[in-house]
Amino acid sequence: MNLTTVSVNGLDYTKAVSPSMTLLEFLREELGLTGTKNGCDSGECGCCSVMVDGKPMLSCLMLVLEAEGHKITTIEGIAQGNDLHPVQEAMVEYGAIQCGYCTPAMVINGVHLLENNKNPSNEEIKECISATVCRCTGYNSIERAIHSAAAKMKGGCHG
Amino acid sequence: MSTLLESFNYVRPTNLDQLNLLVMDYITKGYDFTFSAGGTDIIPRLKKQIFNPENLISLSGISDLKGIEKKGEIIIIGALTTLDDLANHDLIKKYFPTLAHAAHKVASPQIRNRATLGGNIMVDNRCSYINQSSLNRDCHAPCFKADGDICHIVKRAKRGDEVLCQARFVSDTAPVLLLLEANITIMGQGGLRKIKLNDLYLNDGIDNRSLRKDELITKIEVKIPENESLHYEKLAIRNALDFPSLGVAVCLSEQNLSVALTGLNPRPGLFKAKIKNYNNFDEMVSDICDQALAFAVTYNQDFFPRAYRKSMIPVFIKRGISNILKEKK
Ligand SMILES: Cc1cc2nc3c(=O)[nH]c(=O)nc-3n(C[C@H](O)[C@H](O)[C@H](O)COP(=O)(O)OP(=O)(O)OC[C@H]3O[C@@H](n4cnc5c(N)ncnc54)[C@H](O)[C@@H]3O)c2cc1C
Ligand code: SF4
Repeated sequence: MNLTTVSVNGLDYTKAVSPSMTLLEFLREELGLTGTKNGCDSGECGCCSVMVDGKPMLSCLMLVLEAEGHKITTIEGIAQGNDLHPVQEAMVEYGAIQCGYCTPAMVINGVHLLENNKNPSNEEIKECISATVCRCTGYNSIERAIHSAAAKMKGGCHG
Repeated sequence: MSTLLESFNYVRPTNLDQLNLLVMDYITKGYDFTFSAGGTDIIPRLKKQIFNPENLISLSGISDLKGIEKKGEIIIIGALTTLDDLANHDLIKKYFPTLAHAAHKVASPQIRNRATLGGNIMVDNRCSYINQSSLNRDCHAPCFKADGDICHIVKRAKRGDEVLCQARFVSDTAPVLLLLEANITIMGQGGLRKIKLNDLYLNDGIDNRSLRKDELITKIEVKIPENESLHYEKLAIRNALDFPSLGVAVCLSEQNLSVALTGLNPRPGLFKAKIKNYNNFDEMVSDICDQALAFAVTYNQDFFPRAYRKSMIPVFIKRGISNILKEKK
């Protein structure tokens, strides 16, 4: 077992972990943050996306010990109290959530896109969600939701 | 306890001196170890129990191995530079737009944020029989790459054959780096050595790199091209996430045409033609297509049928050339 401290959504957690534990397992099983989903467990479905120092990465392909010294943001860290992020609001508004399994990852990737690009093109939105598999919506509603969130954020509604 | 990963010991040195001491210690004690950089190739292989090292040495804490700088006419890329940083770096976009494009074609945005260039040129060869869960692999007798005694792709293969395993070379950035005549610096117990990237690759799906156990790549050096133009095209089922079923890089200058291939044989293909040796341009193009086709060994190891992958080689070469000529106009 190795002792590690990981910063998740602004709080430091110190735990003894097995070196072969992934960040995904740490979040879900040690911290009970089950918003981040486990899909394929091999990097192909995007479900387990979290932000590492502000960039989306796959928590199933990252050992928790590799997360030491970095700032992790999960879906639980996106809303501010009861105020949903504009991307989350738009996902609700546009019916872009059906079974909900891919939603946390879609939100993480969408928020990252809009934080770095205020005017994303259709192509850029498509690329941003291209590596997160959704089997319900057909992706169109998710694209529309991200577009609408971009417009809202430009209007300065959030933060 | 991890659900899929077997246990191993993990160490993350924070500088090159620490790393050297650690490797020396492990080599003297005869410990089994392997390096991990971004982990996006190695973690799936560990989860699928394709191999189970006792020790994992993480390179991710060594900041000296990250970053891109220009020294005269040479661009030096640290092996731990992520593919996303590479694809978006001003120097790379300015001098090597095709390298930026090839890096951008790897996997997905989330993977490129973590995957490194060193890991990409070292990415293990793949085969539809080995890159499977252990449950799936248990349905077949273990093949040579799994320390068994059979190859499911080439049934007559036997130990002692020149090419024992046909697992495919799959790096997307390597073909472009090969055409740019990149050099790599290797650090090992004997000190530093510099080799041509092409000399890293061996023609076997199992022993596919010329590095010794204690050696790792520290940097990749590329000379700014004078009058060469490049193009890279990838054949994959989906734009995101799929490894190249075929990747073709083309480089054209006033004097030469060269082509590099990925996604086919156990090692990348590299072909050069000098314009002055041919009667006309078309003759040269047709000769380089013939060379590429003669080299390419395709098996049904991939989503696309082998004949289709092979027939796309000359198509991609010619398309690459015509794109370069179009951009020059
Ligand atoms: C879903 C999915 C899709 C993918 N698609 C593609 C694709 O389209 N194209 C593609 O090329 N790859 C693809 N990959 C593979 C992989 O993500 C990339 O090749 C990546 O660049 C590997 O880099 P890494 O730093 O994560 O390597 P790691 O996993 O850390 O290492 C890979 C190998 O290189 C060795 N290594 C790493 N760094 C060094 C070094 N500095 N010196 C010596 N040895 C070293 C390691 O020991 C290991 O054997 C994909 C992976 C996944 C999971
Ligand atoms: S080519 Fe043959 S030996 Fe190599 S991984 Fe595939 S089945 Fe195994």
